[in-house]
Order: sequence, then structure tokens, then C-alpha cells
Amino acid sequence: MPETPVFVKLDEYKDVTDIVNLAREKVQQAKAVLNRIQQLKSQEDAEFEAWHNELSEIEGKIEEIDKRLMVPEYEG
Amino acid sequence: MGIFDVFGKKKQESLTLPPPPMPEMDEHQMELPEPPHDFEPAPEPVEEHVIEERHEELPAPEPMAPRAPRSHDGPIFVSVQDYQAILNGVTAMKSKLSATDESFKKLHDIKAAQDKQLDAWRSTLEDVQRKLTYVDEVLFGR
Repeated sequence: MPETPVFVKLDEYKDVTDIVNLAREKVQQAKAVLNRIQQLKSQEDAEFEAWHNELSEIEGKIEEIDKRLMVPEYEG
Repeated sequence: MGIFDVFGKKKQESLTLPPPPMPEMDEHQMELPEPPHDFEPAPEPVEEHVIEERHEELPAPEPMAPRAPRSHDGPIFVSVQDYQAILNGVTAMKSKLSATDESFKKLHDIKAAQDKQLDAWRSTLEDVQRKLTYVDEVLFGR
């Protein structure tokens, strides 16, 4: 015996479809914002890398100065 | 006279219809002409490979087109299966949105901690700059 199809009445169908379309637009906007944040994160990572390199160079300079100050070639 | 008598009368009338008139034709028109004695019907060549080529040239079946959106503003009726799928989709979307909200809070906390560390770094940098200025004055008198 074939099953009798049962249907559910959906009121305000237009409102539902409008909300679905709005949600779709918001998701697209959120994806665009996420892409922009990822670009900023990449720039931030590049700045962190540059900062790390500068700190390493400063550390080397400090070591060099410290060596020259602590072990002078000539003492007065 | 009952209702079914009408149909009985129609049946009787249909039985008394005269035979349809035959088209007027001459006797020589009704007979097919004799084929010539040297006539031999040539069999049509069967090209088997044509069938295969045609089979290969058949376009791939296109995917089923999405259902056209309904345009009216009033209520609609959807099947129970579709309704259940819609409900499951909405529930999944709400769950995903909650997870996204949690991710946003975590990112916000990370950003706040990062800002705090950047402020501390700025203070340390300014302190080192002051000390280097002092060393510069002590060593070089400027």
C-alpha cells in the first residue's frame, strides 16, 4: 500500500525566504571579513618575524658590547 | 423513464448509424503497379560503427536543476521529509553559530592578551631607550 504524502503548512513563506537570503548575504560578508582578518594576520606575522630578527640583532650587539666592556684590551 | 434509459437509447441510435461512405476510386488506382523484372531492392548498408559513434557523442546527463523558487507570498505546503530537513538545517546552523560565537570570544581574548603584551613591550622599549640614552651620555658625553 503506497504511503500517503503528508504536508506541513508553512505560513509567511516570503518572510522565511527573505531571512534565508539575508543569512546567505551575512555569511558572505562574514567570509569577506574573515579573509581580511587573515590578511591582517599575515601582515602581523611578517611584523613579528621582523621584530624577532631585530631583537636577535640587538642581542648580538649587546653581547659584543658586553664582551668589549668586560674584557678590555687595555686597562688604564 | 430512468437515467440509464438515456444511455440505452443512445446505444440503440449508434447501432443504427449508416456505414461511412467509401472514397470514390478507379480500379486501376487501387492496384499497385508491377515492379520491373530486373528490379532488385538493394539492402541498405548497416553501419554498425555509426551507432557506437552516436552513442559516444551523447551528451552527459545534466544534473538535476534546482527547484524553481516559489513566488507567492502566502503559506505553502512542504512534505514532512522536507520540513524535517529544514528543521535539522536550522538546528545545525544555530549550533554552528554558537560555535562561531565561542571562536569569536576566544579570538577576542587572544587579541586582548596580545594588546596587553604589546603595551608591556612598548614600556620595556621606552625603558631601554632611556637607559641607552644614559649610557650614551656617560660614554660619549652627549
